[in-house]
Amino acid sequence: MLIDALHFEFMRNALFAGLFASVICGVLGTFIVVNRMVFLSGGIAHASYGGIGLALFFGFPFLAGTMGFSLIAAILMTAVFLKAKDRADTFIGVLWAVGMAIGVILIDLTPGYTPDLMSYLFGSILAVPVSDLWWMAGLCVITLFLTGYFYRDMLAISYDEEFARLRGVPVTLIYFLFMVLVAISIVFVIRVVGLILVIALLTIPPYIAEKYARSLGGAMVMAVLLSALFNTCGLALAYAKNLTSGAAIIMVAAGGFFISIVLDFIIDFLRKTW
Amino acid sequence: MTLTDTAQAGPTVAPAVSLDRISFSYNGRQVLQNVTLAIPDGEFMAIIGPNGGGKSTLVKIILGLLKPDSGHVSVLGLPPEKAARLIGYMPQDVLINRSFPISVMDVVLMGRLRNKGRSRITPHDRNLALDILDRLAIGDLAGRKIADISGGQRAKVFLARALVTDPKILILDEPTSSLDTNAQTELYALLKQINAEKTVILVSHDLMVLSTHVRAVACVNREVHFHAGSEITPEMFNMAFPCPVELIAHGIPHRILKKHTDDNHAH
Repeated sequence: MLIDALHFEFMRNALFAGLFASVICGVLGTFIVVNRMVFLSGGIAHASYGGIGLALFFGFPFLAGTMGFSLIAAILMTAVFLKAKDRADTFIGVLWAVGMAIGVILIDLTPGYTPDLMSYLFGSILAVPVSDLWWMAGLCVITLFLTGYFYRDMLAISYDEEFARLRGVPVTLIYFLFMVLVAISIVFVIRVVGLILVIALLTIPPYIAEKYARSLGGAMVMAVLLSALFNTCGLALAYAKNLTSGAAIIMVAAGGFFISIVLDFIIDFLRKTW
Repeated sequence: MTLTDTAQAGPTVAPAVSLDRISFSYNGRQVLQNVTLAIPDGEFMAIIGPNGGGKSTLVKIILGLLKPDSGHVSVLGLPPEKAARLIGYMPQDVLINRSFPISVMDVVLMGRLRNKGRSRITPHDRNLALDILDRLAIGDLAGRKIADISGGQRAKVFLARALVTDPKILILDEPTSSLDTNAQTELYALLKQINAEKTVILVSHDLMVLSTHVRAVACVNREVHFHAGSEITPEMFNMAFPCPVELIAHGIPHRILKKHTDDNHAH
């Protein structure tokens, strides 16, 4: 069924976009989930909406606006996260809301046609231009390279930041490097799959993978594969039933999430009774 | 080098740790006040004191993770940030994420990170890590997930991670807090062996076991009082009273202590 659909170029592009997003989100999402930076990433994604408003109001490209906003948000939020971990959530919450409010107000103030919030929230994976695919392929390569190069450092700072610092690992630099990468990725992935799906892809597959994997690298690989599976099944479902693709992918991922919880429960039950 | 050689090498050896009139406050609260402390090379010292008395702060200042508001810190004759790599640090177990997907081997290998300034682990590093795990009799656990081993085994893994750095000083923050009595005894025996080569500093609540193993005690409660010798003084008693259940549970009659003879309390 999906095979037939692949005769259409837009379906092929959508499939590739989903697979590239899976690689980026699976790897970076695992880093985010094990570092408990999910809320921070949500903050970056939402604050970037301010960039859409800014771009629309001043008439420059969306990409420049969202990229600027998400990078600034990522740097500020990461700085606060590193400086005062226990108080960071409040600051992130504020920046999150302010970013969105700026976006909404600037769009209000812009005369003429305004894009609707829905395409920003759920993306338009079926209308991905080929140029975006190249950007995402490039991001995949950069993400994989940096993760491979800094793997041991990432592992150390994620597991025990203090010890990593004592061993001379440049903890602050690595956090900023990867959160900047997350900010750039979020911008591209939002264009393709929307704000809500980017959060879902960054969190659901890594959350499931973290439980079963034996290593951080294993969790990353498993998260990428799960994400690819959710994306492909979601897309097939959307095609077959004529549904909004972003929402269909999220529902498949959520299904996977609940199946994993039920599985845990059953495994736990069997362990206790046998 | 034996224990006595290092301990009695005399004043020519730089102290392992030297704190000179250190003060530190956090959120306007004075945590440490005018602390002066010299820990000789080769010492086996315990840091005791009530919760919130500044024990962890003191350790973090020695490690260079916190900067004192005033005073001078020197570790092996170096500023603490420079000396950090010469210290093997074993943090409190409870502070570390237990569900993290990581193997015992990978935890220990963290101790070999950035040895030549790079983020690479060599086969040599793996061999060193395996040797130390074997020495601690947990070599067979190398491939296990950290979440799947017992508290006592986990303590040994963190000890192995500290030792694989080949430190001059070993600092342990409440190493026995999650261990049963057998595992505690075993750990202290290990530390005694390690002390033959290295300075050992440990933060503890457990006055009892301390009395039979350590050779000096620093009481920390905003101020620091250093006691050379392992006898328990009434002051330690008072200081530790709010925290150690052990003290009350086992009581003085069961403890074997040295006679209170030496007068070298370096207050």
